[in-house]
Amino acid sequence: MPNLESIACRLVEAKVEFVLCGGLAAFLQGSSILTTDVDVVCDMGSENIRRLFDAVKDLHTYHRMTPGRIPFTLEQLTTQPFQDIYLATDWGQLDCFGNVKGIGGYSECLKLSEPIEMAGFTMMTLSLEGILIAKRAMGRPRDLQAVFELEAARERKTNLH
Amino acid sequence: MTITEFEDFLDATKHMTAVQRAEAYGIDISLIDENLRLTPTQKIRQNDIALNQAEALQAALHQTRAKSGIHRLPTR
Repeated sequence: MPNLESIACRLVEAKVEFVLCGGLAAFLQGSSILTTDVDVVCDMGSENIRRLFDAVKDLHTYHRMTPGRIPFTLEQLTTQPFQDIYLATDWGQLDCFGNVKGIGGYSECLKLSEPIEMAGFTMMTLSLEGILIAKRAMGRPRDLQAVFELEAARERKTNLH
Repeated sequence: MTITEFEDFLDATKHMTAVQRAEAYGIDISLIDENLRLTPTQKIRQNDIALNQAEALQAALHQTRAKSGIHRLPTR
């Protein structure tokens, strides 16, 4: 049963160092395009990935881009460095990236982020400007639609204030 | 839309405001206005509700097809 809110909450509770990016961040910043996954850029160091593991370990989590649905295990932390991690959980998909196209890694994304409070927790989310940079860099048709939507949302917000 | 068509679109709409350009692209601005009225909590919950409804619809469709023996739409 999809529950992206709970996935995000788990990451915060486990103290994972991450910045929300992708479709959910765009949706929170004003896009109307619904999303089916939680995309985050995070510090890919072993300590942070250990926290990530703790956050989702009881959700039957597996690497969804691998044949055979290989479970996400703690042992993998010591055997392989991660660039990106594409996970499926009982609550939905969670993609963890080492880099966001057009911006860079976690530290660079953090500089272009802002805290968003929701459902009793606070998480860092790419700012509207940050998402626009990333979406323009991605350049797929759906990204360009999001760019037009977010530019319109920015204009609407400006006119409201 | 090809890259050329997209570039033509950008050129043809360069004098427009962002809202006008989005409308010209076919985006329903009322959906953006609706989104901007919601709090972050309301937004993520609305997204989750929509995902669950879509999943329930897919399951129902699957069940109906299984009962009727229809597994794919007829081709023309």
